[in-house]
Amino acid sequence: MEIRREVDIENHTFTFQQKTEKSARILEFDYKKCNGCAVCVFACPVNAIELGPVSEIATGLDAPPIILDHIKCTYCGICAAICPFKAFNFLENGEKVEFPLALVDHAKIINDKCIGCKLCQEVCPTGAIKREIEVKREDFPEKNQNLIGELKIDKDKCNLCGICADFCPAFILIEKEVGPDTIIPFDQLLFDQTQCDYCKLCEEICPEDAITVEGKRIKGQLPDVFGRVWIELDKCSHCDYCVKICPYDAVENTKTGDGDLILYEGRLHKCDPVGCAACIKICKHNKVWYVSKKDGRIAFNEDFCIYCGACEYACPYDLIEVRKDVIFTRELINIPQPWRESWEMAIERVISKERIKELERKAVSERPTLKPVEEEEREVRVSPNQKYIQQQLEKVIANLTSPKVRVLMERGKEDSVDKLLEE
Amino acid sequence: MSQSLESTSRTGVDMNIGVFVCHCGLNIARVIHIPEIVEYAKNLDGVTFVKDIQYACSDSGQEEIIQAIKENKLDRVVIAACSPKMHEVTFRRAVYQAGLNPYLVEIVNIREQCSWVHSETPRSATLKAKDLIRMGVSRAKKLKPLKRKKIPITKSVLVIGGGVAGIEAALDLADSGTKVYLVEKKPTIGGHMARFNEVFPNNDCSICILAPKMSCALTHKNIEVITNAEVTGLEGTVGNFKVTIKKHPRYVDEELCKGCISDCSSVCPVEVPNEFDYTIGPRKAIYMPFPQSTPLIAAIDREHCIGCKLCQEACEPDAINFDQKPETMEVEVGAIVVATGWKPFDARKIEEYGYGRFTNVITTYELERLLSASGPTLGQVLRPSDLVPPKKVAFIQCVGSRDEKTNPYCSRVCCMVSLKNAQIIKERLSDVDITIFYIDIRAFGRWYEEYYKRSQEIGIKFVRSRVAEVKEIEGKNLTLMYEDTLNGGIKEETFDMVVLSGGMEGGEDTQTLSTILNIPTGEDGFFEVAHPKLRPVETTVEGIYVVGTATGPKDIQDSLAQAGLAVAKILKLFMRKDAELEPYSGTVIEDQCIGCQLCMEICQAHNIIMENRKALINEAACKGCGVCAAACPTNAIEMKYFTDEQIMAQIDALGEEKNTYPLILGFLCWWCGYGAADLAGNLKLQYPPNLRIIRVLCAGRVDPEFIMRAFQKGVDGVMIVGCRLGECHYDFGNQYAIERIDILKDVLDKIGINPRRLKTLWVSAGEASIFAREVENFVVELESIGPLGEELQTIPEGGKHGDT
Repeated sequence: MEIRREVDIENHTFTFQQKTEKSARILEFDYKKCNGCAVCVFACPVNAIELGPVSEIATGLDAPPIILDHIKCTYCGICAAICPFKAFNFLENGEKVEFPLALVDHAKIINDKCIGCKLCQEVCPTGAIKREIEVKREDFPEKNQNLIGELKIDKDKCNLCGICADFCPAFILIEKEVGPDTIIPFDQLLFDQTQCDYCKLCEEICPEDAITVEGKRIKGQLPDVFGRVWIELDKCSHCDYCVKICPYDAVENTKTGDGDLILYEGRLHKCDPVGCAACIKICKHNKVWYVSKKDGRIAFNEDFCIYCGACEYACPYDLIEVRKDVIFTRELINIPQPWRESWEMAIERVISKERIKELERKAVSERPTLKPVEEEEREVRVSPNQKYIQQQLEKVIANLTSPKVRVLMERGKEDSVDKLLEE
Repeated sequence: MSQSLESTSRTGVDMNIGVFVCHCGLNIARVIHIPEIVEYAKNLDGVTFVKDIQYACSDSGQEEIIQAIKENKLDRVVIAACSPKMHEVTFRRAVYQAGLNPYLVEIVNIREQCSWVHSETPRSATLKAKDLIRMGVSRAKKLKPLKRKKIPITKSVLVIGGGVAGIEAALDLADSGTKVYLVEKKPTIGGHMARFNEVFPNNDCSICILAPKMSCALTHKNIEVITNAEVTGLEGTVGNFKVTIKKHPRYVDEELCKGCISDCSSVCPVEVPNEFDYTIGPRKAIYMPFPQSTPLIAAIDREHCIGCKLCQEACEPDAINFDQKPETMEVEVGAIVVATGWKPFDARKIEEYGYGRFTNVITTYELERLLSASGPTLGQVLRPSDLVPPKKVAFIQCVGSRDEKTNPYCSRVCCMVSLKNAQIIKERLSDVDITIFYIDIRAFGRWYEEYYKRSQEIGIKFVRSRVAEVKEIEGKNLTLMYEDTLNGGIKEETFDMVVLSGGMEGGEDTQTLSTILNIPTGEDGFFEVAHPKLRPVETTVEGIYVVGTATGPKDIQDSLAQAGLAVAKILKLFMRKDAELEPYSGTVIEDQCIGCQLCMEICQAHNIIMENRKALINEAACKGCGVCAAACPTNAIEMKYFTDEQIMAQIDALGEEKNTYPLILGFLCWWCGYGAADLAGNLKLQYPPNLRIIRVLCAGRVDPEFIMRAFQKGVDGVMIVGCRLGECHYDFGNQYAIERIDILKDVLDKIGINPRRLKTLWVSAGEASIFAREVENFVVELESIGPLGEELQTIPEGGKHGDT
């Protein structure tokens, strides 16, 4: 069977292809999504993936964090199934394959609890959260004219969810940078009274009853839910920022793994958190690392870590270790196919950070591949003496029917030779 | 079966012969041009029907054959397909279903002995296939209906473990008419013995003496071989056991797989150490354990398959099935034989010897595979690090035996095994220096001490010492540190390769099985027997017997003795029945017998007596070697299924057309020569396409007339291939062949024919590479001599006369 393998590169996406007469398998790899966590390197059952210069990439080099040998690759799809950041896409005969042994991919907004605020969207490091606002102040044409009223914001009650600001331009949120140490994306809520007509709608829309307005309620019905929020799973890194920020417990997320993140503090004098910042930069999907404001040293918040391991490879000073205890995959039981055990072993290898051992070929004689060669037309040679020989043999065959000769022959007697040749 | 004997006795010119040519997917069709063969067969005399079939052995293929026989009223069938060792039984069954006597089918081997060995020369392979089919058709015309003896099946036995002891017990029981379920955990039966090279004390080729038993077990109508399976439950008591068997999926359809293995495994990207080579050679995740695997069906290893699915695409007959699930079956048996065997001691446990760390430290089991002609090096002794033959080899005895830290017991066979392997290495590499480090040499059986003596005589050194440590030094050489306890002194010596003579331990599943069957095990990990002296194969559970190495280290002969004993005990339980036998025996044609008594004189089995001045053969006892028939001056002995008439017809048919030069006719004995030729096919060894093979049961069957006739018909060379001398399956058949051939060579010489045109080759069924090489050498030799008759310097008068 002929197997063709080729590779194409366009922008930052590699397309690896394996074609046979009966099938076409495509493995796409978007290196911008990859952070060099090496999960696929350990999982690959044929060692077709090598880890690139992750440290240099973290600090600015534009290169793929992993290198895939497309000739060695078997297109089994383990890498695609197990990548925590969905940097791979695996297609079989044009269709995306859902692997039964893939990583769990569970994160969702519980609609009953969600009030449609913007907190989770603001903090999401991967932009996986999408949101649509159902209603705005400008949807109501009525406006109080020349009404002098008063609006108070109870700072103790307000959780800076931002609904009022999305609803009405009279509210202004002052943003601040989100980080693992300070996940609330806003500093404070300001009120611009020049924009306000004291319509009292904000009083109703605030989920925390933090706004009180003296004014006149204009006509019109507010919808039950202010906005709709959802998670796009193919971007989600299961970091838990949304879970941690949501004041209403409206997000469910299953991290793809558990373990320990260890920073070797004893060697921290080597660390240059501002100049290098490789750990901070490589952890773009989960934002675990930050520079502590307290002492200016590198620090991490394990709440957001999925123990992928990228920071360990990014740190040029070997200060970080990521220990994996478990990787959560989909249900493994009841998979009849013969490759289940290999896939389980792949997951074991990712946890123990060991690559598959390559076979030490102890003793083998290489066999050439057999291909038909051009055959020369060969002459079927016959000697002109053949007739004569036939006559001679005729005589011998006749003598073989003599019991006397045969007895001599069976007893190994030499004179049987002459007897056989007698006329 | 009775109806078929009468219904098909038509002979002569009005015969309808059907020829079926199997593609075997591409296994045959890739090389041999099938349409050409089909057209050719149509023009052969007597052939009234020809058809090519994708897979003749498949259900639909068989159905096609059956239909064609019925519709075209065929009375002889020729099937050009794989080796008769593979599917003769299948096709006999099919032909029988069509109403023909099962012995009226002729198998023409165009796969193992043609397409697989001539992949590079398709044109010549096609010409060869034509010759073989022409010969087959001629032989088919002379086939006669034959009758087997029948036995009703009433009792059944479960044999657990398909090693030599289990196979032996299964065969003996099956021949007695007992239904046997032979359960084997691995994908093939054969156990350890199937992987060994040669076995002491007579250095028989291990697989050659075992493979016939393996294939016999597989095809025996009373044996159901269940591979990849384990016993998981047992209920009931003696005479009425109910056994639960779990059959693990192979992920390869046993009906559809053709055993070609090359297509699927060549695309498999996963390479792992082959446990069937004791890890010294590699295999793929879809694999055949070894070339003689029985059944010859691939298996997918669920530990290593990664799911790339390429094998599924590559498999032409679509035999790969990833959705196979474990099957549970229940069988009822009257008795159980446990023959679960042993496992090799893990030499890694003795760290100071460095196995697993030092490349050139190997185990005795790995050495067996290195020495085996079908092993990873095709029998070349090469040290692993650089694949060159070693110059200096050390054997360390008692590795994991007689050692308080590992196993205190003696493993009984390792001394003899090392003596044997040292002898074999010495035979193959004459300049090798071998030292055996031993505590005591235990050579305790008949011919064993003599064997030890012979080893000393051929220059193998013996040092009495338990080696303290092995160190790896530069160039991957190894330094042994030891105390010489005979001559005294702490010494060091450097070798290129060290062989650890690992002991035998209780089989992997001994404990699990002990729980299921409720039979005890000892502290050493082997099964206990009811009494070590007086009841050596009985267990504490009546009706369950343990044989072979499952009860402790044993050599093959002891294991077989135990298997036989267990069979006797079981048959004591059951009623004795007659076995069904192949009808291959001799019979005397009274009209032609002149009472010369030559046959009686030479039958070593003493199965021929004289009655009323005519020879009389005890057909029940006759095994059919045909040595007598080859000697009979008046051709008065008919060897059923291998008659003079049938073989002569093949020779004459070959002579009708000369398609190749030099043209060689081979007479190959069924047990070794034919087996070696088939194995050459399985291994895809290539040799020149000049040989046409006629199968005989024994080299001693080859009548001098056959050879003379072949030359008379214009073949350029005749080759007789039989078992290695001293290993004849009929004891002395090949000796008779040698003596006859010596005389015939003189005769040829005197006529003026170069006697080198008549060649003998004595190989084991495992020596495929020797067979292939010898065919090649013979072709070269015959080319140098020229076509038959070329060597005559001056042609006597009569010759010139004949020439005109």
